[in-house]
Amino acid sequence: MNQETFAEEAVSPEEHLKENSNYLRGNIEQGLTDPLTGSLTPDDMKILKFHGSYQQQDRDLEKERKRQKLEPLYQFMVRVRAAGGIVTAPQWLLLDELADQYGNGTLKLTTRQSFQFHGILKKDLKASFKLINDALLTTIAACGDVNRNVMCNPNPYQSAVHEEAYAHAVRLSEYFKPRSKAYYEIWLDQEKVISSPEQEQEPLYGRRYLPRKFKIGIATPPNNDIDIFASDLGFIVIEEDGKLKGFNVCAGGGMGATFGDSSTYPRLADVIGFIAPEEIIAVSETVMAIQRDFGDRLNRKNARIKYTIDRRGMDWFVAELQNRLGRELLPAAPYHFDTNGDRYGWLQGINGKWFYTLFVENGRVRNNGKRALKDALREIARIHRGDLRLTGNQNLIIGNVEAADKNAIEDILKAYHIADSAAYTGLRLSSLACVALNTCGLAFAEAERYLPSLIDKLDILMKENGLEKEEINIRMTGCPNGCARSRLGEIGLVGRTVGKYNLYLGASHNGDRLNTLYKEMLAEADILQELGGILQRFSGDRLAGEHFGDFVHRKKIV
Amino acid sequence: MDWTTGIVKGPFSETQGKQLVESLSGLSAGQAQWLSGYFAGISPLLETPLPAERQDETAPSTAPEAKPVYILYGTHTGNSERLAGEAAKRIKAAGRAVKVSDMDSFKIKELSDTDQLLIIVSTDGDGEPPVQAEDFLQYLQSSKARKLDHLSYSILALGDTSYTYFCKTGKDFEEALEKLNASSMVPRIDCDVDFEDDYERWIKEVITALGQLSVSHNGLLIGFPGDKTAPQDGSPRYDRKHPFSATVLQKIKLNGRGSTKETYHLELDLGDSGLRYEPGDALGIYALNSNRLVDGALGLLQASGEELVESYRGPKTLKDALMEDYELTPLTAVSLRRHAEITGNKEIKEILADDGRLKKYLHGRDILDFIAAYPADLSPEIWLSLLRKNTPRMYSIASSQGMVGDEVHVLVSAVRYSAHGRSREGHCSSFLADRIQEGDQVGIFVDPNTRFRLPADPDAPVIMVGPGTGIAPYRAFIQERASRGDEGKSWLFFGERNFTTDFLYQAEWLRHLKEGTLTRASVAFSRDQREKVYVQHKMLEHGKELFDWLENGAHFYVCGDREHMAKDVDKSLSSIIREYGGMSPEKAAAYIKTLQHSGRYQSDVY
Repeated sequence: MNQETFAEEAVSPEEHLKENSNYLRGNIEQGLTDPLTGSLTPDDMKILKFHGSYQQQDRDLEKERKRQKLEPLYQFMVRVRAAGGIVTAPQWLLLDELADQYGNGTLKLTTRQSFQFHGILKKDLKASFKLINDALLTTIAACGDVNRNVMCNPNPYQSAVHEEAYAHAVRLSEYFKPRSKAYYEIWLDQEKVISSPEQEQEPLYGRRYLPRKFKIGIATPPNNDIDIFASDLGFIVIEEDGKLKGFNVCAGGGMGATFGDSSTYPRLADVIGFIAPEEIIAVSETVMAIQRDFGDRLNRKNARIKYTIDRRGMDWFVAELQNRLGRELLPAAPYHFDTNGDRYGWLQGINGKWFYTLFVENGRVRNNGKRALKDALREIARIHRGDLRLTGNQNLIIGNVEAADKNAIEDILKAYHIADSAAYTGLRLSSLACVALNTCGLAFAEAERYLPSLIDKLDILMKENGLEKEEINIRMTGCPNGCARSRLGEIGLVGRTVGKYNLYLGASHNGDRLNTLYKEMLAEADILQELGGILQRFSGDRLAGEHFGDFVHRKKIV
Repeated sequence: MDWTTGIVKGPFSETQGKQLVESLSGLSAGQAQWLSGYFAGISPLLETPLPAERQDETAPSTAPEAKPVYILYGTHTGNSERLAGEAAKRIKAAGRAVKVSDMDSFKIKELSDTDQLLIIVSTDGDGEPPVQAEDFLQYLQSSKARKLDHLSYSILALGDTSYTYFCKTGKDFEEALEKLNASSMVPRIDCDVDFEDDYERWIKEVITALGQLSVSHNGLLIGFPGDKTAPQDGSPRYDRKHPFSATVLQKIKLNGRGSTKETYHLELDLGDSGLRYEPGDALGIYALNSNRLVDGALGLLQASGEELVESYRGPKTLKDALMEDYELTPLTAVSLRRHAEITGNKEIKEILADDGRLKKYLHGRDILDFIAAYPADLSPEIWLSLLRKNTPRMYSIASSQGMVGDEVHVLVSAVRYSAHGRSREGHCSSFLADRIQEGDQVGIFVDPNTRFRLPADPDAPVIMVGPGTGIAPYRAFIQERASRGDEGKSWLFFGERNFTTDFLYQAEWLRHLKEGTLTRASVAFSRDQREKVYVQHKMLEHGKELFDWLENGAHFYVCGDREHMAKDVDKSLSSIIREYGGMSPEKAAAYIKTLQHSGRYQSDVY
């Protein structure tokens, strides 16, 4: 199928919008200068995603401002992508400043190793983009129907193989960036391309780009900290004699679903074969081309590759891939994942330098009274000669620290009352929450703002049952789209409405099994009561080393 | 003298004279009176009612009393105009012919043929005449003005004692007329914002002075409601003297969180009051004083508040009188004058004697400061006599009845500041902001403003400049035009401090823009960027289009701050006309004057 000639097939309005956007330009530039509203037009809001920003509004103020005859407090989330989530200390300082100058004074470290700024007003959007690019970072394709940030274990110095995997992540990230110059014209005032379509083609994406977002990750066993099976396309590092032998390819993952629409569901990627390291770009490009050509362009809810695969069958998909590649995939190699969590504290890399994994609750970097995390990290970034790395679990690694600097960093953390991970329970250290209210337009319920207080209460139950050090993945999202991969939590809580959650139990501890619906529409008291009973049984009946997610299955609780 | 002599000697040909005598013979007194009013009414429509050469003849005016009384008004908000109309009816009813005109339309040469002139004129903020009165006053003050020995006059001056140059324009007219040897018929009366009583006194004296005329009220008169002879002709039952107690339906602070401003939108229920208003009108609101100020005053007076006193509204406790009947926030020269009269205090007299010092003293001070500074052993009643009567505050109405029916909406900016070591607040704005809740009642009346009106032509474009609360009447304008389905284009200029929190009625403007009931809007938010940007800058930015609009018949409105904004807007307008009309400063000034005189440049500033 020729990507540039569309049959007269029915497509969603978004497809026309992309096609007519002149390669992602839309009317964003005019919209930015309209002084009467803090919003862009609905069409431009969609195109803006490709540039790395979502228009949102402060939902806490929605009713109040309506009464005040003011438009909603429109604001923008801006997502910064960096393959594997690695930035230098000077870059951190710029992002830190951006949060104060234009954002809401906080940084959100996301579950896909990106930075998010919230609360940026339209009038400051261009300046924010510019600042990010000045820091040699970018927001392009951090959102939108394209390949997004490529995830990878953020510590390339754990082994030589880690280092290679990271290099591949960077390659993928660069290779699949949109070619359109729209981003540079709109945000960075670069000269406008005189549009001859030939000059500015998207050889892979075409004028309509992909049917839906596309996520790639590379995981290095035994750590599945990036939740490889949640990816559209994943590569599992296969190591032989300390060298990268190749990758197991997996495809068809995706977390999103819609309540009440059974044609939507979370799905984990299936491992389909093995490839040599040098094949990674070609295989990725081919998988994306298949999705480009066969993905559902009529119904965005069914447009992810997981549905394309399920609709046509995995056999078809693998055959199509092999056909296009002109060769067969090799059989997958054996691999094993222990956990999808992070390992906290100091770790020495193969380069002799030190890496400190810091627990950042829900990835929110902010000052909270005495516990001034944002100030502490700024202070560290000022003296730090290494880098900073975001994990897929919303945590932060202070990386490449000289042995001599370890104390200084610890001292700063102490001075700002940032506790060592030892001070937290295993449950809290294994918790994830998405942003949800008050900025996310999709959220039905609280997540990030609520989970910490729920864990306070659960911690009491954990303690009562002697489980305070037990690492049970608990993940909360405000809606079933699953940004915090709630369906991969041993305990998953998905918001239904304000104050009510569906409780899911029994995902594996290493991210290779989804959880199962246990009960619906639970209020806090119900959640505590249900989990209280199960935790008590777990404490008494668990097998040695048995994880909570496995226990609830063995006991047929789900 | 036989009445026919007048006609024979009058400016008629012999045939005309004969015909007139024939026609007029046998008329009843009532019919004659009717005709006199009729001619007065139609005279502006007749081209040159008197042959010009006649004016230079020295033939004695045989019946000077037969000449119509001329009432000239110079108005800013329409009060003078309204009173002029009312006065005309009263004088006509008393048997005299009357001509009424605004000063702009009045032809100077008519002065020589006018024997009795009544002037009703207001004073703008800092002692300036209203635009309408400028030229006429300038003429009278100029060296080319002719002597007016034949003229007797009386002046009703409207003003506001809270301004230093109280009723200055009335005084200026008096001075000019005196210099031209005109004689005073009845002494000038200076009215404060509650002018009804003073007006009533003045018109009665005028009518008496006009002679042989009874002052009897009859059905033709529009008395002030509350008079025994309250009209049955559909005039409002409620007015300044008889405010309607309107229930507050909604009170909304329009500024979003984090704003440095405090602006309230109030929706009041007119119920079955029958009150009607037009877009452009103002709503008068009576405030009660805060406990804080009343207690402060009682403390300074060393009174308990329980003392029974005689307020101008009848007997009540001192506390209630202070709360309801008088004002405690603004300090006016009147209070100082009365104090000085009673106590003979030398220092106060000195302040009063020096305009500059007076202005400085009054600035930022309220009555409590004054009482504290000049304590005197006076009875509570005497103290009360120093105070300004509780005076309603006027708010430009922000709604159209075409849209909101029996409601009236106003926009109120809370005035708060700190001066002389105490935190201060506006008399009425703090009342509305702090002491009034939804469900409470406030005393209101409609204060018509005929000088701020949508064009009669529904297709005429309008340019509306109104930063801050100056946006209020435009909400009424656009509601009115939307409810009537008018097709005229409209362009709003609005400014405030911050876009996110202070864009008053933003959601409504966006809706109007979407629906086409507002054509375009230009906004300036002064504190959203380093350099301050105001509405006048936005006008200049779109100067070319703005001039095109004017050339296409647009009416230009400005509402809001008088001191700075209105002047800056006027400057911008002038520079736009110069630049895009290719005009000299003089021509541009004339262009603006023409706009003003034709009612296409109207302002409602405060």
